[in-house]
Amino acid sequence: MFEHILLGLHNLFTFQNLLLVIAGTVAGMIVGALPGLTATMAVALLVPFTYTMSAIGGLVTLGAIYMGCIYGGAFSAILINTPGTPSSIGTTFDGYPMARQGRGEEAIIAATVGSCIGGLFGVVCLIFLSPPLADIALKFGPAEYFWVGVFGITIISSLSAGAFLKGITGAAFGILISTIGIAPIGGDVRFTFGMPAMQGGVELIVILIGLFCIPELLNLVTQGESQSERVEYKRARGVLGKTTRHVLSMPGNLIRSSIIGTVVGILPGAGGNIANLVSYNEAKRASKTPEKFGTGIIDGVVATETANNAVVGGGMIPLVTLGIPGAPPDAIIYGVLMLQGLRPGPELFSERADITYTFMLAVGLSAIVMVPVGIYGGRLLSRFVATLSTRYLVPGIAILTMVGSYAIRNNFLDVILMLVFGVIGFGIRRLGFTAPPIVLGLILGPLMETGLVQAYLSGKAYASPWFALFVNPISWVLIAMSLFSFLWPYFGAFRGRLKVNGGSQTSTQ
Amino acid sequence: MGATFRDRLGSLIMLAFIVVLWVQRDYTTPFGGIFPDRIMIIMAAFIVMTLILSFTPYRVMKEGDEKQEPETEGKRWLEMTVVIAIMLLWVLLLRYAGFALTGVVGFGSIAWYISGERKNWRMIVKAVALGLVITYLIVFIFGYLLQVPLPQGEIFD
Repeated sequence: MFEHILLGLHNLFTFQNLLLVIAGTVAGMIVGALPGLTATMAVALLVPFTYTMSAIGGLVTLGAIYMGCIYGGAFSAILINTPGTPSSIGTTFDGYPMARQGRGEEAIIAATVGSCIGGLFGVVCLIFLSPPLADIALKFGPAEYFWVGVFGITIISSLSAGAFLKGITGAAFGILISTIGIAPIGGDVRFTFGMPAMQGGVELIVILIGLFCIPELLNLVTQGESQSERVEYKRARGVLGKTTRHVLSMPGNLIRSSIIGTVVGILPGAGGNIANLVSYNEAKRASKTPEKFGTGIIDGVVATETANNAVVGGGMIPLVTLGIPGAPPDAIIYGVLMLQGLRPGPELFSERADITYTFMLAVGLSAIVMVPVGIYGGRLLSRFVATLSTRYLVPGIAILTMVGSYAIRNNFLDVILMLVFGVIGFGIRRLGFTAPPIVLGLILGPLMETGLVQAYLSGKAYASPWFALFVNPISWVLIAMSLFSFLWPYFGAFRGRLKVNGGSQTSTQ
Repeated sequence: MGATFRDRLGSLIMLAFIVVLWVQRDYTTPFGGIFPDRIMIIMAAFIVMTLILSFTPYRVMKEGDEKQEPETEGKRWLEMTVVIAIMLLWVLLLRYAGFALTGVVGFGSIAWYISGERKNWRMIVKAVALGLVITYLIVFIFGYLLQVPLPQGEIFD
């Protein structure tokens, strides 16, 4: 592994790649700081810039954009009380009160140091946990890959905003969309509506751009210009050193939040939006002064920003080892990996190790680059973001979605599909369905189908071909994990009801 | 829109999607349908379950439990529909008029239309000028620097 890390460092420290990391981090920070735009949308919007780059260049840029975007969300959370991305919701709880108290710079520095440490922690876990996990994946046959897909679907459905049935229906919708085109085994042409252009299936990136960018664009139209009050902050001598020492003097908070972020990132579909709130709650529970949370305490900012940046590395662990995106922006990175001909799994750590390690190290480097850019360029960035008007942002997003969806295959049908899926995405969100299960269904669909049909074919020797799905012990572990994640929401609801009943009985006694 | 109504409408739309795919089934090998057919059946079962629960007091989740998008005023719906219509027209004209022309017109139209009460000549000029700058900046970055092909437009060929 260490020779691969050295090779990755050698590849990364070229003028071009360093420039891409800095440019990607800054671009990500700008989009992340714009209220209403999610990290997934930022990565999707900026994907076309990487189409003609080499695999290393493209991935390095995207990784930096993602890391920068998650951090950039803290600026608007702290200075205008509006999270730039959903990953920074928790940062508003203490960041904005700090800014109102004239401690805006302190909050920004705390967010910066926390983001850097969280980001680096996630990347270290990514580098050291992924190869052994990829080795386990070597033992997987078709049946195990099918069950990995089932596990991914059940876990994201149980996490989908409290509506399990809608989550799993959304995932099934995504799976069915992925079956459009030529079947992976047998070569059947399916569900093309008689259009030859659909035989190649629907391009993943096109649907992702549609599902993640168009609904946000339409939301911006429906919300109109936001009237947020922006708090200015001035740089003062000594605050940088004092705040950095203060942040580093809370190792418990930093380690706990980093672990929460990484673990939440590993869970398919759960991203920074969940990690930052969980981490905030845990920091509050562990604090000796929980009553101070929400009044402008630095611990709250550190907890949320450390956790959401740790998600970046954590979310990439299942992505590079099994092809399951940990967080929604990872789905876009998955699409780019496929575009570059890189299939997630063990071979990423053997034949393509040069690319994989350069990419992982670049994500870590971008966490470091955020510090000088954020501390010295933060004020400029927040001023720039405040001057951007919705009436120019909306057509700006529209024009980038057009470029992004057309340029993949030079296909006009892709642009139409992007718009159609965008409108579908907006409509189904209003009906209570969320995009992450659909996207995971889209990604896991082909993996599950190939696994299921291959297992079925290899099971001809058994009394029933379906027995092939159950013969390996790894399959049983994955089935047990799927059942657990399937039943977890019901168990949680049952426990909640028991608590309520217990509480009401106590109060009546 | 109430949560129960959302459940029912969402379920019916998803059911219609399954029906559309189901009638298209025309497999030529025994393997083509193994996976999608089962997914369609499972999805239909979950949809029916959601529908049944929406008619009982035991709705899948209580009101307010699931993430809900903010309600939109009638005026905003109109604005949104017009923006979608402009984008649709933009996409349809892309093949014939090319990226450069449709980009300026599309960007300018959306920027002008969502500019609120300030829909005057000055606003039109500002929107088109900015559309021109942004579009040609994108043409320069993608077409020349990154060598990403952008549609030229059949009428200019």
